[in-house]
Amino acid sequence: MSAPIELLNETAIRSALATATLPAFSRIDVHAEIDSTNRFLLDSEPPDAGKLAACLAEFQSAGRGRRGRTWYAPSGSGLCLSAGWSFGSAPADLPALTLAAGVVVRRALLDSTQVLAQLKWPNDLVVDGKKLGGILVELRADSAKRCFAVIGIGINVSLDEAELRRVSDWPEGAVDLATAMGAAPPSRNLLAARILEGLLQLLRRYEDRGFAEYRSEFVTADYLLGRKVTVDDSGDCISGTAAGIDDAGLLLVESHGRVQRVLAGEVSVRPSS
Amino acid sequence: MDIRKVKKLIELLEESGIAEIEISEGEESVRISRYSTVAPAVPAAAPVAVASPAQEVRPAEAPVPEPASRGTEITAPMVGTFYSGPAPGAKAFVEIGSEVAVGDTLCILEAMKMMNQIEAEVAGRVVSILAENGAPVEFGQVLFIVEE
Repeated sequence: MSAPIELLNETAIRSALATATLPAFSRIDVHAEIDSTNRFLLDSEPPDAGKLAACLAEFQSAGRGRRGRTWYAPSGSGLCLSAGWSFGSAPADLPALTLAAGVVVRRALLDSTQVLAQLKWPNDLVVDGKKLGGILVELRADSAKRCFAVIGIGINVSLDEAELRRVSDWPEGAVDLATAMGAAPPSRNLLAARILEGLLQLLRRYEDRGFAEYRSEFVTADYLLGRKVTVDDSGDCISGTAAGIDDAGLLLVESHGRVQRVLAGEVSVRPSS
Repeated sequence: MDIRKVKKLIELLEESGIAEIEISEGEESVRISRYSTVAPAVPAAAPVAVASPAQEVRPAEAPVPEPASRGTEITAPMVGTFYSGPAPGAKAFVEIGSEVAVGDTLCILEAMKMMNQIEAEVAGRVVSILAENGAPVEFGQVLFIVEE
């Protein structure tokens, strides 16, 4: 790697955060190596109401993807960040929190790097059709009284070509911020601060206002819109044209003049013929 | 157990959409199931006779104690797909009869790649599991009954 790496650092993140937001952080833990930043927060005591707990790591030995899959990132090459928040009760638009978090990350990237990422429903960040990063929201909840949400974010910041091939689970491949910018990427501490501020604003309002105020921005950034897609929900496949999202954030897929709402499944884009 | 109480339980069961309920009162217990284990597959929409396998209903001689508890219902806090275990092929978090403590994981619900670990809010024994692995569940749907 040519550029020197600025290590993730709690002091640097705190000094980059807007002063007014500092009291809202119950903790900002930075680890050289950890099994998973999401797991760390999920296993910790949930923060008090109104407080955000943050955990970052240079390297995750067991980074988490969906349903027991792993997320791999070489040490120092990416941004692995998790943020935990306690809701008083489960918000109505809970599943769309993943989409709203995507909007937050997109804003932070635009602000810090001028890179305009697209969002692939429900949880991927895309630049030029390649995967820049992803979001995995995990929760611990009981029937409705208690709901602890952890938003995990992984972004490729600066990887060499071999590493990019290794991290990619997409046929289109992966991309890093350095490539997307065509320049040296910004300090990850700065980027982390912008993302944490955005998440704090999102989580403070989500219980009352829900997904509505993030929806239009997701629609603007919708990578799938108009593309031919196949949705595989544990073997049940729907093929059609992606037609946006509904008010609750469900994917709309149009086929044979009928629009179906999709709540779960792997979405793959079919090459246009 | 008072036969009127059993009748009331059957009515509750029929209204609720719950498949099976087991109630213990002191040393007596009664299990009521909507579907007979001997009957062939029954169309779901058809009314089904209530079968009560292996239940012992004796007239109560002692004064009837507090009304029987139905157990605590664990409901879905969001729509999603119900997973009984942590990963495909993995062992289920709980089975009927499992003893759980407060905070123990009962299942995972997934919607839009959001993984929601549903935990027991009471300690006790799992007496009913009302969703199938991989099946969609609605907001508020009863997933488990835990008897304290």
